[in-house]
Amino acid sequence: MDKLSLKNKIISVNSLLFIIIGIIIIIRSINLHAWLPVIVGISFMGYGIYRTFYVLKYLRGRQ
Amino acid sequence: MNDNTDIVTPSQPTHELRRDISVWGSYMWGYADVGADIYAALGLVIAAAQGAASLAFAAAGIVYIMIGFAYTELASAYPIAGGGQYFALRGLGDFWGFVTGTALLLDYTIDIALFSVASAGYVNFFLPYFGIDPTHFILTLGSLKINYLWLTESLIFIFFLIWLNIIGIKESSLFNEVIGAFDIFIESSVIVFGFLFAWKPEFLVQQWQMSFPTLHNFMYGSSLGIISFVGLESISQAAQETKRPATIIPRTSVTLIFTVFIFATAFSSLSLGVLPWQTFAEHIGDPIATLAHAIPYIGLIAGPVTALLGATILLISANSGVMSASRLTYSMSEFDLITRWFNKVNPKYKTPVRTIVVFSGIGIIEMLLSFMTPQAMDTLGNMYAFGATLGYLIVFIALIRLRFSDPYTPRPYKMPLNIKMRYKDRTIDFPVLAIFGFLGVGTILFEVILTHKIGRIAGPIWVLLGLLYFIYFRKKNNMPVTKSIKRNWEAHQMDVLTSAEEFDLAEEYRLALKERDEKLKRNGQTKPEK
Repeated sequence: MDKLSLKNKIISVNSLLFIIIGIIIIIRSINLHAWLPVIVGISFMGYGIYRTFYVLKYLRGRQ
Repeated sequence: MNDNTDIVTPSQPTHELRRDISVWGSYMWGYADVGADIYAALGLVIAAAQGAASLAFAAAGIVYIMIGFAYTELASAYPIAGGGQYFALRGLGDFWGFVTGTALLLDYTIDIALFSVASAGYVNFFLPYFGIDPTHFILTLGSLKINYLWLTESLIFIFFLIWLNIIGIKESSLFNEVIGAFDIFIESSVIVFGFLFAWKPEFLVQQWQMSFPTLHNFMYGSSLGIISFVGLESISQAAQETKRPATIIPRTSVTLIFTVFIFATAFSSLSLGVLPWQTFAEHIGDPIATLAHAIPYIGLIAGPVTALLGATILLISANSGVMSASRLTYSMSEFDLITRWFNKVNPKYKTPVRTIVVFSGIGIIEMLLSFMTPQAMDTLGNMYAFGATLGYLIVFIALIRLRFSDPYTPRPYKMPLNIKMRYKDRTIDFPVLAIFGFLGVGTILFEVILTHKIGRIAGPIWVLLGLLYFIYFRKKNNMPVTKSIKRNWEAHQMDVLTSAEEFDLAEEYRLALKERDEKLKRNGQTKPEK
């Protein structure tokens, strides 16, 4: 697999951070039945996963 | 030059706008607007929607996602400067193209005024560090109290941006990219630190239950929420200057749609889980700085950093306004909706200098007038919401119409949720999501008219004045007013795709037209008039 460029490393770390924060928001909100923050958490996770796939797709394209 | 029967091929200008914006540059043009809007809108929306501010942002955000999908489809299919105005022109004709252009032009000129003023306001945060009290610079004229220091700073900013845009797109794109990257980093830091160390979901729930707004307040809040979402229009505006636009624009736009939605809902959810809504109502001018100040570890330095951030990102947004207004008027003059005097590109810098100077000048006038009202920011925000919703509403209609009237143009991206149907012996993808988008934007426009006292009067007056000019201009030049000038859109579309170096799409388009012509020939029919 090709090495990650600095830009893609930043995107990867950023994506992971979004996924982790998404999980934290969901766990802390779900017991309170606060559904809007749960949706925000899911959005964070979804965005993180989307960016991760974006980097993977980019790397696959360069192989 | 034109009469009602001639078919005109829209010309390629002698000096074209240079194509030198990359993926990152295109993304930053959009982010420059959107990132700054949340700085201005957060306090206003929370003050109106109170404990339900997150819901107000989410409601406006969902509508915005649909707007984003529509713009992505249209900007990648028709990669030419003009944005919503061009799409309305193609789909609905000259009259509606002009109405859309006028509404969006109102937004861009106000964008210049609003964000230059707001940026200067953040700069004033630093003046006490140098022993200067900005509140001492007040000029009293009867009942008017004008802060002439703030006014002068705003004027300097606008003149700086005019100069920057006259020099050329490459320089101003670089300016956006560098400062925008810094701003994304700081905004992300506030969100990450905030959710990790300061956010209390039980407090958010308490505010939701105890401070749920009245219907009127919620409508006002959610309609103001839409002012956070004008970024994608900038990408369309930059389409003519973007390299390989059909490839780049879908990637840029979809990423931007997600970023915008997440930032808007995250900031509102975070804010109400950290501080009471009343605190934000008292700090409408600097809500993000107030929020950042309440976050542990970064709170001590949050004031100066977020003030710097606010000043820079708001200046970027004002820059987007100058850029987009000039490109929009360039496009309108190119299609004889306004005088061709505007479409002259400077031979030295290859930028539309006249449009930059004139419409930034209008932005200056709007800024001066707003300083004469009790709340300048609120006045400008009201009109901003009116222009955006009116423009977007017409764009949705144009998108639906174009699916039927121009099915031959290749669409590298299509709005999700389509139903296949037969129309004139051809299979058409009917955009169901565009119907929902139309209803969503229509609801927000209704809210604006119902709840925005200045926007519902000044906005329509602007459009009406524009229409009077349109009638005068078209009659003077012997052009139809309610009907469209007949244009050879097919040749024009081929020129656009070829000049964008989208050769695959150009070939696909040529084959689709050839197939249509052969089918018509077999049936003994002639080519439909465009």
